[in-house]
Amino acid sequence: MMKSYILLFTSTLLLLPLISCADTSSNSEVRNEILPSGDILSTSRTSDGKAVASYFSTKPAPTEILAKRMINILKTMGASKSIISFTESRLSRNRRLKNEQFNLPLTDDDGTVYNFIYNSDAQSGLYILNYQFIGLSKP
Amino acid sequence: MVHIKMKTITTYLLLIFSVFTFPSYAEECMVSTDTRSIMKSHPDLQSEKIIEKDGQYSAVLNNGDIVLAKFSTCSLGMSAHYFSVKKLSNSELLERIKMFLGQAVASKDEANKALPQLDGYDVDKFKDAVVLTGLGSQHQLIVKPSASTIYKQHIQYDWIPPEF
Repeated sequence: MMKSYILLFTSTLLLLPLISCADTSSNSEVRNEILPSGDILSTSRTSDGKAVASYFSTKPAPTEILAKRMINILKTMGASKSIISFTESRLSRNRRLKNEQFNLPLTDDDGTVYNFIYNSDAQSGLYILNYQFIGLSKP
Repeated sequence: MVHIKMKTITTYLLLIFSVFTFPSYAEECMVSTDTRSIMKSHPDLQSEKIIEKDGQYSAVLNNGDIVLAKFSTCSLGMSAHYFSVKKLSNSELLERIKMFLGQAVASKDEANKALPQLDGYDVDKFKDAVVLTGLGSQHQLIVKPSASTIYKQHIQYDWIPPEF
């Protein structure tokens, strides 16, 4: 019995470097998901480990849809509860979402900043919503 | 008497039928472009989706690169986008453009006519639109700065159908 525990312990120790290796390699990795609408959500991390995402669509989105998209990105990327409840109640009424291009930094109760950049290119038929985790805003 | 009644009923039925069917003929498009898989023969294809009613095509490759395309549902036309995670060198970019064009062009003969025109092409020229001539139609390529923070390069392909 004891022997099997030792075996398990040593094998776990041996596997540890492999696990951490897999973690670091996934840092710069891009994950893509094709959504039922055909839109693509790409998520990744910057070289300093900050979460980033890009949402690709070939159709322009009305304000409410864009707000939903942004809330879903915040949820997927593990943003704080306070920013999610704030955006759920207020984001669809934000006038900036009506613009073809916008840069919208959002700050939660703890001062953490999340940034969205929207880029419409009607001529090419591409609508890209970028998300960046910025972190604590400097006082 | 019965015979006349039957005739009147049939005439009415035909009238109702034509009223209901006429608008659908009027709405129908003269031409449309079939939505098809662009990347299906690519060895690194991870997943893809075709939505015919919207003329929408999306694909994800194993290296993280993505492809989005829009087929005209009420005319002839197609626009496709390739996003590369990696910043490509000039030679890699030319190879990627060739691969993408080879996949995106609908017919083999058309691709065989257009592709050799890219040999030895100066990659800088793709900053403006480059138009290649096929058998009947034209093929436009342009390399743009990527509007996505994740992707480094954006190749856009447009099919310019022949004019009738």
